[in-house]
Amino acid sequence: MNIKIIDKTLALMTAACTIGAALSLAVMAFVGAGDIFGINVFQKGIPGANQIAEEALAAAFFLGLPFAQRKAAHVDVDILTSLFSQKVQNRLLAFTQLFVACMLTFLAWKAFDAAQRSYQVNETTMGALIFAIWPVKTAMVVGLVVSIFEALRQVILSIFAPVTNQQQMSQAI
Amino acid sequence: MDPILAGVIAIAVLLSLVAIRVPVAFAMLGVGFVGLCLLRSPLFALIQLQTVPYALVASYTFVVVPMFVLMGSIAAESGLIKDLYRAAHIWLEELKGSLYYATVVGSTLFAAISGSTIVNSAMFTRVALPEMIKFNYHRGFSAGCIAGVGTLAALIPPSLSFVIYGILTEQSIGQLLIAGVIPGLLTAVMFILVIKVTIWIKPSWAPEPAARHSYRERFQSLGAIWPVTVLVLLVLGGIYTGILPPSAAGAVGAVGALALALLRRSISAPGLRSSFEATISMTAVIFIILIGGMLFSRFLLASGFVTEMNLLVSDNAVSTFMFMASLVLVYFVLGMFVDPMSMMVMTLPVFFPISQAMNIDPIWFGVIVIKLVEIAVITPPVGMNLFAVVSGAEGKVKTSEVFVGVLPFLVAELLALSVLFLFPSLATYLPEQMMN
Repeated sequence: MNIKIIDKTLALMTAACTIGAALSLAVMAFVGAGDIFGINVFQKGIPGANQIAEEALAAAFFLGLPFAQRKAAHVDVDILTSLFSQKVQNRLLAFTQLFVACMLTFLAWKAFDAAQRSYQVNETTMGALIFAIWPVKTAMVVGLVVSIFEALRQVILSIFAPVTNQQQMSQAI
Repeated sequence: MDPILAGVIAIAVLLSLVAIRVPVAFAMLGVGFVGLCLLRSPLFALIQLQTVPYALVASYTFVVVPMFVLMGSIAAESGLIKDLYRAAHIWLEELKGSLYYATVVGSTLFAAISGSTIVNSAMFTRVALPEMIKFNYHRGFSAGCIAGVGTLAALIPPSLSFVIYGILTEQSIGQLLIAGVIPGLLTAVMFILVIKVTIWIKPSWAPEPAARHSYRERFQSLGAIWPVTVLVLLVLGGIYTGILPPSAAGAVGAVGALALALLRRSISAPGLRSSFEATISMTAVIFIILIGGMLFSRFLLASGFVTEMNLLVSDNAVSTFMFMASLVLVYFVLGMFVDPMSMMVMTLPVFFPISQAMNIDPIWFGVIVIKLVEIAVITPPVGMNLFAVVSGAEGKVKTSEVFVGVLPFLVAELLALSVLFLFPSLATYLPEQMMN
């Protein structure tokens, strides 16, 4: 399959996750503000506002991970590696992204277990508003899996595109 | 295995991974995970991986993080910085070096609605540096000034650094945020003093003043400040009076910033998109570091390292002064290489319990830690604010010039730190009033 098609598909998946994360952020902001407005004006807030905000935060974080991964936004320290040749830097970058992909795989594996169990037992929130948690836990798996693909993409780029640097990797979606 | 040895090996492996550019979050995650596998069992470590990420993130207390970031991003995108800077300059233009002072005042005001030091520095580089260069201000000192005053966002609420400290140490985020007000203003005053002294020693670093605006124009410029005033009253007023918990204050601030930007017609669709993207990216980066830090600190606790360190400190009768001096030293050295948040996540699991065993006020300790973090972000060679300024300057100023230019502001920071050591009530007065 053409590598560009894979790359484009991955970009679309990341963009879809980012839109999901943005919507979650908006929900968090408007529900939080609406709740306070309701409490202070009508003496009645939005039922379950806190639970909605909690689940929205989890969704925003996990669905936002692929975007951060694609943008190479994670905090790293390049003082030592910048002293090495470009070739060595690329090899190290491949190793570090492989390390990241491994850790993300462990996280995704256990997140999948958690989502599956949550669905099987129909896990719900506890509080004023009761709703199922498994969609958020599924979003967690989706975000982590897309992040793994992004990390692997960066491994491939650092091996097969020697001039590639962090900035070029983090091309806009 | 001896707990101290296990902890030292883990820290050494962590630093080695960070040195070869493994992202800090994943390095902590990896070391914590492997450490728990070896120390307890792989099953125990996998259970931690399954429970920690979701349990940590799906918490109402942490909603404050993305909300404060969103508020600051929208405010920055809507051109508030330019308005603040212009107003500050118009009022201060009769002073020699007025643009330096305007940068301090504008940045202090913007810090009251933005919790990120890097956003503060990067945005002021775009707005203030071209003006300073145009009027023949000293390039290095101008860039150093922007990097230095950008750190005020770490102290003045809504500070992300305090939120992270509160999360890591389980202290009241509301009290911590309010505790930063006086130290933040104190630091701003120190910056102004340092600018005054520097211009007195090096008069050529600032052009002569040239007043150009009438009082009518000056008062008109204040009109630009009302959105900031509204946001500050909403967010800080809400937290201080106890009407709003920090997370709700963040949500109100984010919606308020959006409403004000729409009302002033100062934000475009791409600007809004950019605000959300910046928030998503920063949220992901912050929370993955917190997850990694949580795994790492669980390993340190499980290994007995933290307990042994506490015993070591108490057995050797280490005084509070010695402990704080070593804290300053560790942060100063680490700050040259590691970013502030990672530094806090890596060190607080060790230092905070020791500070509590020594009966150090956790709020005051938090202010000192954040002050050290502030200093770290402008300490060459890796001060993150310095690089934010260098990259935002787009070649207008060299890295070496920024390194030299920021030194007077480092002195100002150290002076402010000394004052906070001598008068701890400067940090604890407002939170105590808040509790009363």
